[in-house]
Amino acid sequence: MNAKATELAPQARQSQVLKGLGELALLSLLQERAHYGLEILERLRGEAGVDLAAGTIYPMLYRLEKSDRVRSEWRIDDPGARPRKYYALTGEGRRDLKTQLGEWRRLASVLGKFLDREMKR
Amino acid sequence: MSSDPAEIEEWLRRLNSALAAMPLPERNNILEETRSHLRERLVAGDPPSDALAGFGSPEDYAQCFVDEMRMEGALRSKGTAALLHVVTSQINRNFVAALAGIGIAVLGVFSFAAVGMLIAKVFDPVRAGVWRYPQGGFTIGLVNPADATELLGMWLYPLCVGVLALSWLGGRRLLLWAVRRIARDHGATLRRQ
Repeated sequence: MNAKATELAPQARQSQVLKGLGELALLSLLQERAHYGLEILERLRGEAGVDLAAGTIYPMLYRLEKSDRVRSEWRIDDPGARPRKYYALTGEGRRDLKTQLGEWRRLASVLGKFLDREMKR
Repeated sequence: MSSDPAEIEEWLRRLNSALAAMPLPERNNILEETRSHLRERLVAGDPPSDALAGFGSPEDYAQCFVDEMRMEGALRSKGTAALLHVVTSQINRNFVAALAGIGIAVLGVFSFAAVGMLIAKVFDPVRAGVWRYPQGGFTIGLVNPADATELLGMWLYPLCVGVLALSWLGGRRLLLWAVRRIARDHGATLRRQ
């Protein structure tokens, strides 16, 4: 039990830290190409370690669409397949991503230097 | 549609009811997207309860969209009624909304007092006013003028109009500030979840 808890702790901590960056990770993902909701959730969880709930991602996408940072369209990928709602980044979304990325890099750099100060001594 | 498990159908029925405040096309869009997501999870082998777990209760899930729609609409139109609706609908679950609600209530009291004084001055100009008593102290309203001196005279009219205008402008600024703040916090909350 304790061994398992110790093993999972860094993962849980990482997930907690990354949750605040969900929107940035989402915008970054949509920069690649259009994605649908479940695909976004799975890629964010698998590749970025951002474990967002389905009940969070769709309202977030709705908000991004309302603020013109994302646009959506229903598509049928294959004949007979179920339609999926795909989300893609708009020009406004790209600008916002650039701003958020700049803020994140600045913050990560300052925080990184602060946290590494003991190592340099 | 009827091929979905009863648990999911019931959850979607509750979601549809909870989204009643939204325009029909948006409501249908949300329902279809949610249904599509749930079906993919079922096809992947998840039991209905696991597929639904990520959404929470249909009422809470719907509230995220309804709040967002109201905030976005209010900020776009900047209409007083829409802004007030956002604040009053969140007054019991948001500190900023509660604070703005108190401010609006105070400004409302000032406005009612100003309107009351204007009406009183029109219909009873002799007794309506700001009165100073010989022994000290003031009264605003309808009093017996025999032992008191009225201070404002006809200036009561512009004063009341001024109070009304300031209350209106102050109230609108307060509402706009509150809704912007609530919208920002709402976005931050979604980002943190």
